[in-house]
Amino acid sequence: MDSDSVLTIRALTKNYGSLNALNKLALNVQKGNIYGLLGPNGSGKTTTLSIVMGILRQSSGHFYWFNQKPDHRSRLRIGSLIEEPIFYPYLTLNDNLKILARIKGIDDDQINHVLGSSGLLKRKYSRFKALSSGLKQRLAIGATLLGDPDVLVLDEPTKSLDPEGFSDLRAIIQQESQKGKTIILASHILDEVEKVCTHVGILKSGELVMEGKVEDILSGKQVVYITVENEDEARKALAQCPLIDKFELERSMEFRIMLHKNSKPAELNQYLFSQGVVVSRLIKQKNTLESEFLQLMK
Amino acid sequence: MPRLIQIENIKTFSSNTFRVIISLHLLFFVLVLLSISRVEVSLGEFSVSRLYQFPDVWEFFPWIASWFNILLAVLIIVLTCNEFRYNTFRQQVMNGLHEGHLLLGKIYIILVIAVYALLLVVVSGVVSGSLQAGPQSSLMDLSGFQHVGIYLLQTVAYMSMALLFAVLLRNNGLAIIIFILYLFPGEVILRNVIFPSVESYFPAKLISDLTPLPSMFTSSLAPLQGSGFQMGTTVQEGLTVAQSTGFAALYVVVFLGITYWVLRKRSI
Repeated sequence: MDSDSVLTIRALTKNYGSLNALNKLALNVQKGNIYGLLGPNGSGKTTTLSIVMGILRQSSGHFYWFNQKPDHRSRLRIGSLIEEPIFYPYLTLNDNLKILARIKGIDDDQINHVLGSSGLLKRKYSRFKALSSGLKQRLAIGATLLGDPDVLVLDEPTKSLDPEGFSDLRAIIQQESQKGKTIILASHILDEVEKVCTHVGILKSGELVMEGKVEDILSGKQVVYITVENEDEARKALAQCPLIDKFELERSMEFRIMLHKNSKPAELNQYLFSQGVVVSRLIKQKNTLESEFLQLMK
Repeated sequence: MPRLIQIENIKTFSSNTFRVIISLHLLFFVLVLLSISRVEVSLGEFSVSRLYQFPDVWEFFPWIASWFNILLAVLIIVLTCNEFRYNTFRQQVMNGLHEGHLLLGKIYIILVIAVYALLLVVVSGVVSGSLQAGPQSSLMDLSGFQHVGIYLLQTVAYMSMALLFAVLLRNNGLAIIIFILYLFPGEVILRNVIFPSVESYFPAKLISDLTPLPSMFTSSLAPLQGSGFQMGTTVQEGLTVAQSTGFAALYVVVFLGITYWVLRKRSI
């Protein structure tokens, strides 16, 4: 195992009866990564995070935190928010964070800092159940920082947050990353992941279908859409075109074309002109995580 | 361990459930004692007032207190099932607690509640015994005080059993209903119909019989049985006190052992 490896997952499988939620999942998160775990609903993101956080038992496979077999001591080095903010509803924010401080083995001094950074210092003695869902989420995100953990595991952390909370979260993630922390972030919001993550893993039906650096994914193959006047002629020309990786008919008279890494849309236009294909419209698609994601999910 | 104690103190003593059930327990116990004390019955050597005097108070008060063990068991079920309901056990495991820590925390609460129940019996016994001290009763006679110790074991045993039901079922209503149904009629059917030969060893019966009907009832009223008088309960037959307490202690270990196994084996 790599010495910089923070989380290593090997052949992780989780079955719920006949449903295969995770199928021999393998991934690796390195120290300092902001790792975005992407996937549609039911793809296995929360299942994966629940298993590695010790609250769900896997059917088979292994995982390692900090290159060691996981135990409660490794979880002391992780701040986590999985699915929803979890606190005692009848206790004050102060008492809830005291419990967390006792578990982490730290002084109560940090509680005020966490409440302050979450904008909840004035609500220190409010009961958790009296907070709005957005404030609960803010508290939960703040609580993950208690004890200055080495790793943050955040599952859909933007849920219930207002735009300000959204922006604060992004700032927290970047700030913690600059301190050398590792962050694992599961999210649906691809734009957000694209902005903050250094690496992504895309899950589909419990399997990892893509993993890599965000910049590599975004600087990959260019996608263009062309609208032609003669579909058959265009199809013949595209089939012999050396500039493209693959193409498909998007709708009548419109093709989606994936160019080779070094090919340019203008060269394609020139090639098609030389083949007698009249292109009435050519649109370059900005390469985004969303476009890659949607393509993978097809 | 000190941090586990602090964690349990914060979450338990601020809980309304805890305050309400403990208050009810205290209230019922005191009310029942006061109500019975007003009954004037005297048959042969038996008299109600003697039950409130030393040394009989040490047998009578634990017996009365044992009627309300069900409340303490329900309290443990609610406190534990709420951890599943609020998902707080999950979060505590994610934050770095081991499943064994979760169990240790609840064992601590069981002991705290058991000590409260013990103190309730001891303090009320001392007060009653002192107030009722008559010419025939000595001041602070501690003979028979072992019944109070056995009562402590009984409360721990009931609450350990309740903890197991809570961890298995994870739902307040369901766990309380199934627990009560197990006590009656579940175990009664099992031991009388299916396994009558080992009746005395069933957990609920064995634990319940740790605080039998006070000996003054049995010795004074036994002669009346032949004349149609029926006693409400009988003293545990077949097992000595030492055997009963030994088996009850063993049951506590078994209940807690299974609880730990369930916590480790199942997803939290």
